[in-house]
Amino acid sequence: MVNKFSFLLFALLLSTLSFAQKIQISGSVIDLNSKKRIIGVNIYNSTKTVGTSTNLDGKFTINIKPGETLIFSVLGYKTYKKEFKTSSKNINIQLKSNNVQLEEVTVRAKPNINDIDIRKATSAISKIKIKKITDRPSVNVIEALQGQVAGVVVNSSGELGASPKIRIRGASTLPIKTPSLTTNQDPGILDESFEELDNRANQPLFVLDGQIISPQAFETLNVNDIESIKVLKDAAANALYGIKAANGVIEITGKRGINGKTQYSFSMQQGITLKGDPAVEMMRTEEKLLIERFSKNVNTPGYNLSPEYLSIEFAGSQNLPSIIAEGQRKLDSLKQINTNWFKELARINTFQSYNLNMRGGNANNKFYLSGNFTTQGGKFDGNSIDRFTGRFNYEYALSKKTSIMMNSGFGLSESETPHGSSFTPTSLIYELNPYEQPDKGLLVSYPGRTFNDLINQFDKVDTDTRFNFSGNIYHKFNNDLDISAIIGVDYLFSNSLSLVPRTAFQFSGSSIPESEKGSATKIKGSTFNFSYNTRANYRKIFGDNTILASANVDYYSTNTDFVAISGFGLPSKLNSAAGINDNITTTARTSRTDSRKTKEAQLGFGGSLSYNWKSLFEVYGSYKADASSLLPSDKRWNSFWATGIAYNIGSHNFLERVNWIKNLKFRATYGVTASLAGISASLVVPTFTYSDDSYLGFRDFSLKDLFNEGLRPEKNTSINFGLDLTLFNNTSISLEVYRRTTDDLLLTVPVAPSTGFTSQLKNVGVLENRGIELTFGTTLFKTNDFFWNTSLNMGYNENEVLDLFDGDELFLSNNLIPDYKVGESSDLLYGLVDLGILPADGVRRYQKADGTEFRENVAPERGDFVVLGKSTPPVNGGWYHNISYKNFSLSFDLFYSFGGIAQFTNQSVAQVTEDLNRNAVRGQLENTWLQPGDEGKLYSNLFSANKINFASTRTVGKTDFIRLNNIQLRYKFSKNYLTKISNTTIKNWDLYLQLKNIATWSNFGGGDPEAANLVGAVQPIITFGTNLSF
Amino acid sequence: MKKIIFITIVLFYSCSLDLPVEDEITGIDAIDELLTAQEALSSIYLSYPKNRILFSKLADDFYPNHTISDNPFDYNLYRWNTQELLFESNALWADYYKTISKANLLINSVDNIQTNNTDEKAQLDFIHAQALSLKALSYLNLIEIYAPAYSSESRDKDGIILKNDINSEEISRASLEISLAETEQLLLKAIDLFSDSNSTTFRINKSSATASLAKLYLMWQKYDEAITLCDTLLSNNLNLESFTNLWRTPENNPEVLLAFENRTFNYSAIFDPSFQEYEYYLNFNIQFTNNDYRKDISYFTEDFTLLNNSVIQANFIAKYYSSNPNISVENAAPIAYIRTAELYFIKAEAAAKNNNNTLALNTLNAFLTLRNADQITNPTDLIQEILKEKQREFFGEGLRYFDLKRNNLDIIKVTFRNNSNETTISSDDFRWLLPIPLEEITNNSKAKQNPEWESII
Repeated sequence: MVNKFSFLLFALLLSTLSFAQKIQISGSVIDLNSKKRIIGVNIYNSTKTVGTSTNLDGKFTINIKPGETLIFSVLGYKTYKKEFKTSSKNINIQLKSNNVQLEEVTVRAKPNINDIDIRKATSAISKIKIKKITDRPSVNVIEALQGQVAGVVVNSSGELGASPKIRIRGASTLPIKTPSLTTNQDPGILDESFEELDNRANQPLFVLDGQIISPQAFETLNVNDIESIKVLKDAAANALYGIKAANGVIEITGKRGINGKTQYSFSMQQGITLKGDPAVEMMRTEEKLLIERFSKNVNTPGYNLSPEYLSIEFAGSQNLPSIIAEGQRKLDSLKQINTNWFKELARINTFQSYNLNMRGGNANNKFYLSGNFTTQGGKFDGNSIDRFTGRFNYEYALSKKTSIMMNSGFGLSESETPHGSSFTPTSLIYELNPYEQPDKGLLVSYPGRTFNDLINQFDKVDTDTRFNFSGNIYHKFNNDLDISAIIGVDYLFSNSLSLVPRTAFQFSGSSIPESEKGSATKIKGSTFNFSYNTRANYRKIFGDNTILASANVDYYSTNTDFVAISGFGLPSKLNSAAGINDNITTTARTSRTDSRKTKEAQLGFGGSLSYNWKSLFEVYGSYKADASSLLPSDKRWNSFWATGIAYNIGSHNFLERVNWIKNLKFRATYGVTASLAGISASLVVPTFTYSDDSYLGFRDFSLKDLFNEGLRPEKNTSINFGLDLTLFNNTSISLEVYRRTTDDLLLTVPVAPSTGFTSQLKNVGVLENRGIELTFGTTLFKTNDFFWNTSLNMGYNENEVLDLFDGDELFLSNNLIPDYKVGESSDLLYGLVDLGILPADGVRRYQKADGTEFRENVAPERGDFVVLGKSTPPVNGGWYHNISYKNFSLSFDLFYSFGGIAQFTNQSVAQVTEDLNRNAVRGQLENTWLQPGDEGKLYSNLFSANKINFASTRTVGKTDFIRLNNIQLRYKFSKNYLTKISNTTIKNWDLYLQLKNIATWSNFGGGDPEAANLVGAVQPIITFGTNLSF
Repeated sequence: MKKIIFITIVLFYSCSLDLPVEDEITGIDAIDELLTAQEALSSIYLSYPKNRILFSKLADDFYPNHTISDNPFDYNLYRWNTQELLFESNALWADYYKTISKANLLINSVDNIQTNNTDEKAQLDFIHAQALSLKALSYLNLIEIYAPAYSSESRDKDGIILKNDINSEEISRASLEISLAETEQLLLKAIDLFSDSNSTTFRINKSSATASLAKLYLMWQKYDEAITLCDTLLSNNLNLESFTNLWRTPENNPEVLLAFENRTFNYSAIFDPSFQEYEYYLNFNIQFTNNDYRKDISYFTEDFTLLNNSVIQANFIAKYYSSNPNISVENAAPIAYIRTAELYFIKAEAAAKNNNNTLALNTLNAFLTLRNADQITNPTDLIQEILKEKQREFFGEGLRYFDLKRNNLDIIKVTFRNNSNETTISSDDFRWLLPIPLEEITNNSKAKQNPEWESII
C-alpha cells in the first residue's frame, strides 16, 4: 500500500471524489451482558479503507459506501459484522464477550494510582516509546532519555558513573540554596558540591508504579523492566503530585505479568567502548622543543640543551664546544621520542549486559520476574561501573472486585573513578610532554616526579544498594466508584571509600611527616523513602455528559542517615579507612567524623473533577493542599490548583467530512504550584548546631544559618497550550506552547555583615521559562516488505529574569559581572571584547566600555564586560528513524542542541613562558606572536606577564552540535525459520549490531560541546547483541 | 467508604511534620538551660577576634625587613595600601559583628533559662554578664577601628551600627556619642551582674569589665571617671616573675585581668612559615636599658643580614616565648588581652589630659619602678613620653595604633630595603577610619561609608 501522506493531493482528490457517494452510520457499542458502553472498539469496512473507533462514551460515527459491511472488533469480544445500505443513526451494536474467564476477572490493579483519566484530556504529557531505548548499551536510564522527548533536556558530563543532569522545561529556580557555599568556611565531609545542589533544586520527581523513588534509584533501573515512561510537564499534571513536583514528574510503569503461557526471554549484549576523540591535538616533540627554545624557559630541555643557553651558562668554559655537542646529542635523542599521551592513557574497554526475564500467569495470578547484569569499563584506568538489578511483580485477584499487586526490585551497583584529585589521568593527557615516557625518567612537566608518581593519585569506589517494595490494592465498589491505595518503601544504601595513597603528589615534600601521609574518606549512608497514596475515583455518565471525580490523600517522607569518617596517615599495608592515624595533631590533617540524620515529610490532600460532553469538550480542575515539614507549622500548608480545557474538533461533525484529518484537539491548562526544592529547614527556622571547637571545655553552640522567617515557597504559575493533530492514519503532530513563571524565587544572597552572617536565603525575584515543543511522527513508507517511520522532536526553552525585588542587578559577590539581571536570561555568559594582538608588542588588547582599548594585563572594570550569549542551549531535540526491510531493520537516533555558547576552559594554550614546561596545543608556535611585526596571530606574547583570564569574544564558541546517539542494525529470524529449527519453542529471535555515540558534528573549538570541556567527550560504544524469547 | 476516608485522615494527622535533624537543634528558644547557655557563650568567645597584631603592623611597632619582598600583600598592608586595608577591614567588621550577633542571641535568651536556686541564678548572671561584656568589647573595638577619635567636633559623626536583634533589618550607624554611651551601658550592666569574686582570667570578670570601662572613658574624654576606675584596680604586685610568667601562664597572674584561650600561633601574622623567618623586626627606637625587667623577655636580638650583605643586630619580638625563643617553633599561647599595666597608662594619660601633670608623671614613674626601669623627670611632652613608654610595654599587642589615633599623631612608615623613612601617615589621613565593607554598604542601604573610601572601593 502506498503511503497516503506522500501523496497528499491524491488523497485529497480521492476524498472529495468519494464524498458524494457515502452514507453516514452512527451509534454506540455496548456489552451484550452488562449493557455497558465499550470504549475503543475498532470499526472499519471490509477493505479497511475507512475506519474509526468508539469514544469514551462508546459512540462512533463513520461514513461508508452503501452496501459495505462494517466490522466491529475489540479485544475480549467476538468480532461482529453488519452490512449497511442506507444512512442510519443511533444504531445499537451489542458485542458478545468471547472469553468467559475474562468476564469473571473484571479488575486489575492500576500500576500508578495517580495516572487517572481525568488528567489525560487536557495536560501536557509525553510518553516515551520504550522500544526505542531498550537495547541501548547504557548503564543509566537518564542517559537513554536524551533526545527522546521534546522539552526534556539531558546533559551528561561524559564521565562514566557521573549522574547526568535532567531538566524538564528548563531550570525553574536558581541553584544556590545553601550559605555554606558562599562563605569561605571549610566544607564538611558531607557537604554537597554546587552541582549536586543545583541538581537537587531543579530535578524532576520520579515515580515508579505510583511510588516515589529517589533519582539515584531511578538511574539504576533496568530499561528492560520498564513498560512505559511518561513525562508530565505542565502544572495540571503536577498538581496531582504537589510540592515535590514543581520541576515536572517522570512516571515509570514497570512490566507486569500476563494471562497465558509463561514466556521466557533472554538477551545479551557485548561490545567494546572506544577511546573517542582527544578533542584537541597536542604538540608533537619537534614543535614542543622549538617553542621551548624560543620561550627561554630554563626548566625545559628545548632551551636548556640549546646552544644559546649552554654558551651563556658555560661561557668561558674550555669544554664549551663539547658541552654544546652533548646538548645537541641529547636533543636529538629526545626527538626520537614522540609519546601520544591520549593513546597512552585512554584505553579501549568492554561493555557487557545480560538480561533474563520471565512473565506469565493465569486469570488470578500474574507475575513478572527479571534479572540483569551490566558492566561498562571507562576510558581511563580505574573507571568502571558494574550493576546487577532484579525485579519481581506479582498480581493477585482477591475477588472479582479486588485486586492486589506487589512490586519489588533491587539493584547493586559499584562504580569506581580515579577522578577527584588534582592530577587526573584525563588532565595529564594535555599536560605531559611528547618527549616524556611512561616508564622512564623524571618528568619536565612535573619536576622531580616520574609518571608513576602521577597516576594512582586518587581512587573512589561507590557501592549503591537499592531496594524497593510496594504494595498496591484496588477495589471496585461498583461501576461508578473505585478506590486504590499504594504503600511503598524505597531504600538506598550507599557506601563510598575515597583513597589518596601516601605516595600521592599532595603528600610529597618534607613538611609532611611520614605518619601523616595518605588519606581516606569513608561515607556510609542510607536514604529511605516512604510513600503512601490512597485515591478514590468516581465516574458518572448521564446522557452525553460524563463526570469524573477523584480525591486522594498522600504522605511522603525521606529519611537520610549518613555517617562519615575522614582522616590522614595511612600505613604502608593498610589502604583503607581502618588505616587512619587518629593521633595526628597537625590542624590541617586531623581526623574528622560527621553524622547527619534528617527526615523530611509531606502530607497532602487533593481532589479533582472533570466534565466531559460528548467527548467533544472537556473541562478539568484540581486542587491539592500540601504540608511540608520544612516550613514552620504556621505556614506549613500550601495549596496548588490547576484547571484545563480541551476541545476535540476531531469528534466534531464537520471534520468527519475531511477525510485526512483524523483527529484535531486543542488543549489549555493553567495552574499554580509551590516549590521548596533544594531547601533545608535551617534556612527557614532558627536552627542551632555544634562545631568541633570549644572554649574552656564548653562546645561551640551557635546558629547554623541566618534563618529567614518571612520566607515564602516559590510559586510556579504555568500556562500551557497544546494541539494534537492526527493526519491520515500515520502522522501525528503535537505542539505545546508554555510559559512558567516562578514567583518569589529563592536564592541565597549576601546580607550585610552587621547581621553576623554573610548570606541568607531570600525571595529575590521572578523568573520566567517559556518555550515551544514540537513532536512529529509519521510513517513514510509502508509496504509488505518495507517500512519506514520517523519521529522528530524539538524543544525550545528560554528563560528571563522578570524582576528582582532589590534593584535591577543581583551580585552574589563583589564580582565584576552581575549574576542576575532583570530582562536577561539567568545563564548569561559575560566576557570582554577581544581586539586582537597588537603587532608592535604582541600584547592582546580588549575593548573598554568607552570604546578605547586596554592591555590584557590590566584589570578590567564592570562596564567593560559585554554579554556573549547564553550558556544553556535553548534548542534541543532528537530525530529517530526506523527502517525495516523484510527481516532487517535499521534504526538511528540523532540528538541535537543549538543556541548555547561556552568558554573554552582548559584550552591547553601556554599563556606565559613558565607554562611551557607542560605540553600545549598543536600549532601554538605558528600562531603565537614572536616578534614585532607579527600580524594576525592567535596567541599573545609569551613574555608578557599577568594576563587576565576572563571569557572573551575569542575564547567562547557556540556549543551547537548534532550527535548520532545510536545506530542499530537488527536481523529478526522469520517465524518459519524458527519453527523449522526449534519446533515453536523459540518464539522470537533477533540479532543486532549497535553503535552508540559514534559521531558528533560540531564547530565548538573547546573540546566536547556537550560537557564544554576537553575531557568530557562521551564514550563511543560498539556492541553486538541478541534477544531470544521462548 | 466514608469510614475508610475518615480513618485515613485520622491516620495521617497523626504523622507529625515537626521533624528534628540529628545534628541540629531547632527553635529560637533552644538556649533554655545553663549548660546550653554556657555553650552559646563559648561560641561568642570563639568568634571574638583576639589577636590584635595587625594593628601593630599598621602602627610603628615593627619595621619590615627584606624577607617581606616575597609577600607583597603584607608589605602593602604595612604601607596602608587601600586594597589590603579593605581586605582586613572586611574580616574585622564581619568577625566583630558575628560576635555581637551571637551575644545578642544569648542575651535575648537569658529570660528563657530556668534557674532553680541562687547558685544557678549566680551562674546565669555570670554568663549573662560575660555576654554583655563581649558585646561591649566588640563595640569598643569597632568604635576604635571605624569611628573617628572622640572630640567635640566628632561626637556627632558616624559611630557604629548598634545591634540588639539577630534579624537582618537595615540599621544606620549611630553617632559616636551614642555608640560610646551604649557601650558604657552594656559595661555598667555587666559590672552590676558580675560577682565580686573573680574566677578564672580566661573569662571576663568584674575587674576586666571595669578596666574596659576605664578605657572607654579615656576614649570618651571622661578623664575623672577613667582615673577613678583605674584606682580601684591598680595593684603594686607587678614584678619580674609576674612579667615573665604572664606570656605563658596568664591564669592567676597579678598582671593579667583578661586572657583568651588560643590555639593558633600568636605571631603568624609576621612570620613566614615556609622560610621560617620573621618578616618584621622591632622598630629600632624600642630599646630597654639593661636593668629593665622586660628586656630579656620582650625580645631577642639576632644578627640579621641586610640586602647589601652588611650584618646588623636586630630585635625580634619574643613575648609569647617563655625562655630562649626558638623561632622555628610556631607556639600557640593564651593571649593576654587586658593587662594591669594598661591601667597605669590609662590613668597617666587621663591625668595628663586633665592637666594634672604631677599625677600623670607619678603614675608613670610608679609603673616604671615596678618594671625596674629608669624614671622620667621633666619630660618636654608628657603625652608623647607616656605613649613612648606605653609602646615599650605593649609593642606587638596592637594598642599603639589606637593610641596614635586617639592623640592625632602621625605614623612614619619605613622601606623594607634599608628602613629609611618612606612615607608619613598624617594624623588627618582618611585611612585612620577603616572602610565599612562593601557588602555592608550594598546590602544595608542605611549604612554610610567612611569619608573618601567611597571613591576607592
